[in-house]
Amino acid sequence: MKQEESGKYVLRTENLTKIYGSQRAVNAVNMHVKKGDIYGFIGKNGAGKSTLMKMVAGLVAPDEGKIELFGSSDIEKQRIRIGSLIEAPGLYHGMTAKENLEVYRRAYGITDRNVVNDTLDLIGLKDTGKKKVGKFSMGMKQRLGIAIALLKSPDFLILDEPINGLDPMGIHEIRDFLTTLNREKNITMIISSHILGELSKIATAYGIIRNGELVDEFSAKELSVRCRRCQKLVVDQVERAVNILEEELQIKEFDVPEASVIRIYEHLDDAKEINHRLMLAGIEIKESYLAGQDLESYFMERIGD
Amino acid sequence: MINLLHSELYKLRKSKSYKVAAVLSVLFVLFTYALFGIMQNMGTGSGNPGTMEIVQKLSGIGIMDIMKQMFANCNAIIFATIFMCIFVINDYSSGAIKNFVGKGYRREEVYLAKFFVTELGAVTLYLLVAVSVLVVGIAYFGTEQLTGAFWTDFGNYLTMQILYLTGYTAINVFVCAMARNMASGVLISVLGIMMFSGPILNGLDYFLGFLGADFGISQYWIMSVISNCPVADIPSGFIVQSGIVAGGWLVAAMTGGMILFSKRDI
Repeated sequence: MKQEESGKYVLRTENLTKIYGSQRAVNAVNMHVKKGDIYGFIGKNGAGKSTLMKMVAGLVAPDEGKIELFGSSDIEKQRIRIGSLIEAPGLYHGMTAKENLEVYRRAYGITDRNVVNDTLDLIGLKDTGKKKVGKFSMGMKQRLGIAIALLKSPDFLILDEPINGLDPMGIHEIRDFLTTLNREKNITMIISSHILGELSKIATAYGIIRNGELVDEFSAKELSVRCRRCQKLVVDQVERAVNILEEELQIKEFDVPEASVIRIYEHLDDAKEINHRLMLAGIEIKESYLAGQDLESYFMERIGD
Repeated sequence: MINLLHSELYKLRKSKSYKVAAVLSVLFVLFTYALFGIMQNMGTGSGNPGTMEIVQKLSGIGIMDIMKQMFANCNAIIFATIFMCIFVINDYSSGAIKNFVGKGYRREEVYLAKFFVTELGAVTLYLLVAVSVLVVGIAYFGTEQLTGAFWTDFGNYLTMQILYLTGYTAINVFVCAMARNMASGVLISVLGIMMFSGPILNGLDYFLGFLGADFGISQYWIMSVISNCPVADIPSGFIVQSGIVAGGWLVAAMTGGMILFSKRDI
């Protein structure tokens, strides 16, 4: 990997692969998480999200490929800068929230004892007092899991389904909290979630994994373009059709994503007229329809549902 | 490593299983003495010939016999085992182990910190049982038995049992790290290591003898030396042999556990 290029990435993987038996749980993944990104990691259950996150966090050893963290290949050293919540938050149910954090404060060698109270305050669990974690709601447990991930003031957070089990209010709070962390503390994040609508409210970049393969990576800006409403045309003579659109109809906002497909993003109310002009020029229109997806259906299509 | 030990010690201090195991161990000592008292009182009444024979045998019992009952018959170790299984496996079943791995420590250090503190917890449970046997024994039998020879036997026997415990704990922590599941961990530890290992190895000894071998493998098993250790006048040969067995198992199981933990996915 080129040095100057790798500097802007918090995480880069090269052909990262994990094989369980005969199955490639993660297959030659090249992932790029830029500094400051909130990277929405999307995929169905069993697509390989958690396995990939575990490899990055050092819980699972890759079979092939490379991981680069903060521009360095010495990932053992760099992993100290990672906070993670992967699958279930690792909590001691017989202890209070404060005692749980105390366990990790000591393990991480944090000398400032105030860190425990400050983190509980930050995550909204300061008033749980002597209540044992076993009696916490799912949402409170998730928050405590995030608190543990934050305890060491990480530069990079890996959160696997962090809003699992939260009620709408809880989801809203965690979303705001993560956005604030990203903006104010400049913490880069990978977040996987099934709640795609929620993810799309905070993510600045996306990666889509399907059957262990990273099928797409794009920014939030690109996504909005991809989901834009358009007139989709399937024609037999694309070049002639493009000429007519540009020269005769003065249409500038269109693209040709596939060999016989044209997407027109303007004059959507004039679709009939556009079709008429193309037919007059002898172009056969095989399909013509107004397209455009909400984010959720776009993701569903990409992840293979 | 120091930080990890610091954290594990905090967990031990907060561990409910440790506290419960400690209370149960002391209660079991009291129960053993109470049972002994009931049997002795029966001696003052009448009973059938079989019962009276047992009662007559019981009349010669002292504190060191209760020590043997608690340690050689695996009463103390069973409470220690339950504590160990819960203390070790809880980290895996709760997923907490994920918060220790990949945080700048080598995996071997994470395993060793857990192992050392589990050893400490088990040893303190043993000491608690020994002190309970002694205190309740003094209350029950009086101070007549507390001769110089008694203190020598008491100290030697307890030291040997603690030495064996360190080897046993290494095996148990290794099994728990392998099982990672509370039910199977407890089952393998209690049934596999403690209850069935003796008869199985004795059977193998018999089989090897049948094949003409002039050695028995059961004498190299940690549970055998725990049971066979004499309470008084321990022969120096047995001290050396059992010390090697305990040390061997300690090193082998600890090394095996570290290798397993460093290689395995979490």
